[in-house]
Amino acid sequence: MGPLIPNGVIPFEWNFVIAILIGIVFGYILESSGFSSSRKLAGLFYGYDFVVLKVFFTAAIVSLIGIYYMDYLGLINVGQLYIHPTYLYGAIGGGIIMGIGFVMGGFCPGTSLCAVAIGKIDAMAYGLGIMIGVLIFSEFFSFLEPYFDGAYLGHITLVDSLGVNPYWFIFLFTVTAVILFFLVDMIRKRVKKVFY
Amino acid sequence: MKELERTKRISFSAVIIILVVLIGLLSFKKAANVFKNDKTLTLNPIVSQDYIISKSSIDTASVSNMAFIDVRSPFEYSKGHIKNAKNIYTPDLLDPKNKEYILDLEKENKTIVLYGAEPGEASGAWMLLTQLGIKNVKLLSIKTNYIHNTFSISDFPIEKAQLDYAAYMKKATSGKIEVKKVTPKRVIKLAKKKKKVAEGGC
Amino acid sequence: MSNTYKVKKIIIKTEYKVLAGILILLAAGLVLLPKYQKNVGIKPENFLVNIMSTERYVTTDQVADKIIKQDPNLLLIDVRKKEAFDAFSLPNAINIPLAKVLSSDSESYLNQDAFDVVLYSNDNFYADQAWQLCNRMGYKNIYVLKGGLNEWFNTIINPKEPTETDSELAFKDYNFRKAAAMYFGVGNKTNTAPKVKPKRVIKLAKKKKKVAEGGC
Repeated sequence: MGPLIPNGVIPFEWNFVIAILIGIVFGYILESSGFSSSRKLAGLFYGYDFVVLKVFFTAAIVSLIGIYYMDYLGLINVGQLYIHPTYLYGAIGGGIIMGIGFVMGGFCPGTSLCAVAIGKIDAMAYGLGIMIGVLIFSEFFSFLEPYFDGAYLGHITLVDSLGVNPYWFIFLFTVTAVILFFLVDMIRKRVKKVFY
Repeated sequence: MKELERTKRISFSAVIIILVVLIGLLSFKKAANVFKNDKTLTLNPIVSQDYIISKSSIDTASVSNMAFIDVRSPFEYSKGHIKNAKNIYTPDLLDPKNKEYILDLEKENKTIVLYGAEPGEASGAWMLLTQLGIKNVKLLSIKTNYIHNTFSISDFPIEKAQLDYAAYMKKATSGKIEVKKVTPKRVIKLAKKKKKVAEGGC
Repeated sequence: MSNTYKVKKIIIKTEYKVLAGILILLAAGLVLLPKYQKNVGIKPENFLVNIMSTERYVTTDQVADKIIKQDPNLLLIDVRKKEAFDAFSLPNAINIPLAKVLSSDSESYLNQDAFDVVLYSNDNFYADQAWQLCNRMGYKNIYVLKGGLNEWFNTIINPKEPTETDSELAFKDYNFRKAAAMYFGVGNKTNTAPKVKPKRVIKLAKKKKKVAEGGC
């Protein structure tokens, strides 16, 4: 049956309406879990707050398990889902830049918009920085293009490239995540409490 | 006390999740007919062409291990048919009763031989059964005739060119100029389709 | 009150453990569930309906008309062997032997919605089979030339003259076929080859960034 829009269950025009609705919910959850605070986000790197790790890891696991159950029950076809293509060089370079920006600014692009919405001035500066960065990238795109398109691996997933059984992979992934949560909690308890 | 309010949320969501999964699993019904995921399953016989048998290749020794299935309509069947053939009209192939019959034949290691008024009529049925994963399905390349109230079959060669096209065209273009290699082959290279899109998020 | 308070306290204390336990249980459930063969392509029941329908057939007249009018949506595909294709083929046709119908190279020709694909072979037996393979995979816009090349030669290239008693329509058809035969080079007395339209190269750029990029 699913995915709903590519298979025509929901008309294509609804795409943006649904996107807006999901976006509103996403923003609400980001804000209500306190992600618009840059100290909370930076806490991940300094080791006094691991909510970011927990929230995103949990979200990944829940959707992963949910999708595979739905696939098993014939409600959705995993093969039809959009998989973002992998450009290895671009991913590595982008990851480094994003990581540095994350620690320095204390936002990731999504949460910065959340923080703009509640009126944080540093987030507005951050947003402006994103625009300038986009402008620079676009202007220099012809220089950067070979690097940008380099090491194209196609639409691959971990399961494809490792060649493992997806169900076992999910199980191991879940167990790892849970163990990670406990470890992270222990670290948090040892680190001096930071109030913010 | 205030933090105790959270218990409601937690137990509620946990129960909901488990309920949803349970209901999903209990209401799950497997499809009765399933196309197997094997590209070579049908292509192997197509490449080797060993699924087509002609009338002349059947002898008394091999016929004992064959089960004939007539895929023509019951009306045609009633006018005459091959001896011992069972009539299963193509649209009825997936009826539980007929399917069971075919699966039984497969279990008994019989060769299932399909025929229709022409090979083309039975090719759809052959395709269906083979892609469902049933082995030993063959197709009889015959033509059925019904003349003077008698039923007979004759060999019908598959995909035989009636003329030598190239030679005919050469003659037809009156030999003055060789126009036939007319149009250059159009080069069409479509970009490979991407997977259907559903946007990725963070 | 004190009793429920205790229960609640236990839940609070163990909430994360309980939730983690549920996740692990569900993941383990995925591993333990009995696996079954999934259906690939369209449902067999639908396939059965499709093979009984004759909608897939186009006549030689229709195809000839489209070739003459240079219909940009027409894509002829020859499913015979390569030697046969090299010896003779319809104008502008491309060759995908029956055995290669499901290969990934052919997929870009067959699984698309830019063209009306017409499959043909000597008869329509192989073309039908190619059509069935494609239909099962759920490809759209694929048709079969009824009667194949044999029919092509019997009608278009070498049409039979209608007798006096035939209908007006038969004469009309005959006239069209005669003209079409000339277009395809029959009885070409002048020294000009049939007009060849310049080769049309269609190049669709690889759509790389059609989707909105995510990023949080």
